[in-house]
Amino acid sequence: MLLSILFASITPFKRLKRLLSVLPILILCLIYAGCATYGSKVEEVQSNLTQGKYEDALKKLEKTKSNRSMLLYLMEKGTILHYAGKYEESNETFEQAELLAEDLYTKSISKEAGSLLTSDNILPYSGEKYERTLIHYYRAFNYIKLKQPDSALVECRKVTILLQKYADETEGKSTAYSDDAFMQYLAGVLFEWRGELNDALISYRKAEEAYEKYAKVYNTPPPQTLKCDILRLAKSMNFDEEYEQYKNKYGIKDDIPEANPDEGVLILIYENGFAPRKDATELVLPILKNDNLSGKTDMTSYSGRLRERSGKSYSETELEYLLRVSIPRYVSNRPRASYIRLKTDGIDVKSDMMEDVEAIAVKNFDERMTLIFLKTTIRGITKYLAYKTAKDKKGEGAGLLVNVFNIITESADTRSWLSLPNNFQMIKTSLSPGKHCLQLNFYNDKGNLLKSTRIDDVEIKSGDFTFLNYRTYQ
Amino acid sequence: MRNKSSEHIAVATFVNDIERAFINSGQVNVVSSAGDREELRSEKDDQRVFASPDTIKQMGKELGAGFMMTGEVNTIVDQEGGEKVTFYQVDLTLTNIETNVKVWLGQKKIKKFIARSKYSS
Repeated sequence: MLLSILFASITPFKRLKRLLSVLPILILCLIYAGCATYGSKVEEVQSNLTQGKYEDALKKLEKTKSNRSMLLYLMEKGTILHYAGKYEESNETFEQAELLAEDLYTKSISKEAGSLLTSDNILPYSGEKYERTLIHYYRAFNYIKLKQPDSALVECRKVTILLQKYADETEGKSTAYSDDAFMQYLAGVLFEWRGELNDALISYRKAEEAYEKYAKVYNTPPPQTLKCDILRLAKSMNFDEEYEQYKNKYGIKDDIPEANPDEGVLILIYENGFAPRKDATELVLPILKNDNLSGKTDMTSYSGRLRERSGKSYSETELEYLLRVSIPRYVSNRPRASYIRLKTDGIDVKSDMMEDVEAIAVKNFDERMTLIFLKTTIRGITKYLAYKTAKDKKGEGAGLLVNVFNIITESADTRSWLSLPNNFQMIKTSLSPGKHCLQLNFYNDKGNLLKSTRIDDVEIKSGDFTFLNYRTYQ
Repeated sequence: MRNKSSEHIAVATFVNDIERAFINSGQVNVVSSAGDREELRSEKDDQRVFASPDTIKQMGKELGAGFMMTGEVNTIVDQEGGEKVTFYQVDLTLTNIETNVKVWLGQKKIKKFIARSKYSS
């Protein structure tokens, strides 16, 4: 409407001039709208989640819903519903997420080609491998809370199949995320809980193998409880060979005692903090007149040369164009608590790090950084050439419009599942049957006590497993 | 009927189908399973206090079952690239409650082939 007022009864030439004068404001508005990172969009959602205001969190989340980020919306929604205690709805949401993720996974390859010329944000978010894996964590816990252990086991089998698929695809390639030690271990615990001992031992052994890689890549060593569990289970199933093999491997001399059948097992998962966000950083890449940049230049090697020039300054006469590219990068978000200790009935146990989501996310991203940089730079160069051609052939106005299009469609892809915890830790211990009052003490990395909480009336039954999860956000 | 597969399957509907087939054949009497029995018994308990004397249903008149049917669903999944083959196997066991003898074992296997196209059409 504003535009029609501006342009009513004006000659075509003056119309163009008027448009060009308004353009800078339009550009600024559009840039501002497009520049918000995903993290900033869900900030209110996260603060509501932290305060336990689940309805508000869901309402705010609705505003971020979009076709391109549908998977992300579903994953965040499922998480909030879980903490709100709406386990059935959470599972329904995650079911949709699972199906969508599988669909997008096989199609993401073809879409990759299309995004060469426009920002990654145009691509639908297809979820990282570890994100898809952790969907099953929430689903399994939802079923445990709903007292449907058989269904929780279905989730274990699903995640095992998914992880097998990842393993087949990466074929032991370097440090890429190919197996999830935490989920394998959790699956093992759930299988053992329901008496499926063969499956349990297989999962424990897979977990052990995966933790060897975790130790090297993410600095998460195999937890002591896992070692004990493998030995104990192997011995009780009379797998003597395996028992001796692992005993030697861990350098344990004494025999592992059998589980006390009168006691019950408590499994407490501590979900700590928030996963890290991606930020957009701008790199300035100078294109020099001497480069003789044209449609015939080899983009791949030229991008490499540009990257080396980043940060260096050149004189006005040498410079043809300053190419600005926006690259995503992770910002660390370590929570204050480093670990917890559980005190109850005479025992005092420290939590074990199970899954360092931040380390996995960052490492996973680093692997792709080179490709992201290359694609972004090539896009930038291609757009610059388009701008230059339009300007040379059709004049300043056309060139400016092309430039506007280029600026608007260029923004870093900062999407990731942000309501995930920063890390998962576990305490697994035997307790006498009956009601227990658990005291959780939170410590920072220097061993200082930050705070204490109590969970009352935790019921432990003879020969049974009790699962609890506890979330903190800071 | 236990779901030991890698998919969420509504085994209850499957059990209903079998029970219906038994009853419709006219040759088999089906009695309630453990969970339902508790519900019925507490209803009878309730009647003893609240229902009129001539409509109270007697305890101790349940039909003792002679056989128990149990079963499970299992899956075996094989996948490579975008192709996946899932084998579904349903196993049913009919056990004589008095002698513990397994009088009948039934099995049904289905194979499903799923190919996911890598490219959107």
